[in-house]
Amino acid sequence: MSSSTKFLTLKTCDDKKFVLDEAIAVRSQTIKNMVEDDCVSNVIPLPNVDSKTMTKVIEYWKKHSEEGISKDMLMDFDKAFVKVHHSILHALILAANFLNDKEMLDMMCQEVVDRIKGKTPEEIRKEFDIKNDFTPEEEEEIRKENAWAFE
Amino acid sequence: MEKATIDILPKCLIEKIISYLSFEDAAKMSILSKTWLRSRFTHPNIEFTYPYSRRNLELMDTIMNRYTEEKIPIDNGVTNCNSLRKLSPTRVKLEEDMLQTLLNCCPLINLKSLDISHTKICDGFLHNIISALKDLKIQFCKGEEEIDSSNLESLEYMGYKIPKLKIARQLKHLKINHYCSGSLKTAWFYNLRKFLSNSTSCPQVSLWFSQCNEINLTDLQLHHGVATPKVDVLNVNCTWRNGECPTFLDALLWSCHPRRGNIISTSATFKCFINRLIYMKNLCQYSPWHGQLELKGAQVYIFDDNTRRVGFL
Repeated sequence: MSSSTKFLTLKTCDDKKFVLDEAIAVRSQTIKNMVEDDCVSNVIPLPNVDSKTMTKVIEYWKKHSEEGISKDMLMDFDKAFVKVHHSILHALILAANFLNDKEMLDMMCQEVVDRIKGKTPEEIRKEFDIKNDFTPEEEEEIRKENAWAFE
Repeated sequence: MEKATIDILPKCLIEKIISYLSFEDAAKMSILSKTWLRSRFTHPNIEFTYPYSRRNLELMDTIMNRYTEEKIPIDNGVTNCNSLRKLSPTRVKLEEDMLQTLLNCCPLINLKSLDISHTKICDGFLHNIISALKDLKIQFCKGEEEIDSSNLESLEYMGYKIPKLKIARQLKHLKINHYCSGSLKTAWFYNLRKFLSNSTSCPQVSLWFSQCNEINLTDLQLHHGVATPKVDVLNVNCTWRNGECPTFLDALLWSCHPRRGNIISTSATFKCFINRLIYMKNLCQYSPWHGQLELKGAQVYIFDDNTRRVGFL
């Protein structure tokens, strides 16, 4: 029995359960620490992650754990994986941060950066639903101070 | 349902995203919202590449002060992106107290990389930070002192004079681009050899010469007690049009000891060099000074384009 696959049960904040091969789940440093510290009883609660996001995360983990998958295939997968609405993108960033999966977090942050580049502040605000909490005077002053960057 | 906006990302994640941006793009982001404004000032790389003007110098002060006032913490969650790792000042005047300001606020212990160009370096500037630095790049700066490279791994230097180097045990990568102007003296070649022999790595050296004169080899032979340098590749660009100075080659080979050399010059100069090389090869048997140049196996390759190159093996 000792060499057989161990499974972990993860429970998201909306009470959905995911049964996952431990070898895959430990891509999350957070889960890995829990397993190593032996504080996994039967269900691991993930209070910061919803099931919709977790499904995506697991899809990513499984793909990246596949045996014999080529680098090109992974690159294509990653490319398609990040092409999501910004609300999902940002839920994934939060999840990757909570689960402490550095590789995934880096990839998602890079995607945000790629979307930001070459856009005007107005376009970025629109793309990411960022609320402008400056008064017009404040905005004017910051614009002046950073005029060199906008040239 | 809560409205998903990137603004509800924790500050440390926005800082992480900002750290991927260039300094200029990060500055643009400060206009998005207050969270982004605050995060922007923790950008881990400060680059001062904006055009030189009085106004920008003041701006730099403002930014430096922000770093001070905000008391940027060293460790904040997922990344350590709050600490300054790379500093690239261009066309500014670096003074000791400015650095002191930085030292007081940012943990410069984490500053690993410094890239200074077209900058006047005041006394003591490098001295304070050099012990933590791994990469140092100096391009066309004025006033730099002796470089204590004992902890440096990589040093790239571009400029008009030969830098002074203190022991360089860790140095894995040394690249020198040196532009010579004025007439050459024996002391110059001696200084070059002394500088190069300080590095245990095999440096890459590129030299530009605009004029040439005969070198007194007897003087050169009097300089003893400096270890033989091990230059990997020596690139020499000779732009003079008049005059042949065969002893120039003797002195150059003595000061650099290149494993391989690429010479770009006019065909007249090149012809003179080849003749001199053959002469030197023959001389090796009789003159111990020439013998130490180890030219026995030297081979010359000519690449047939407008500029001619010669390779020594």
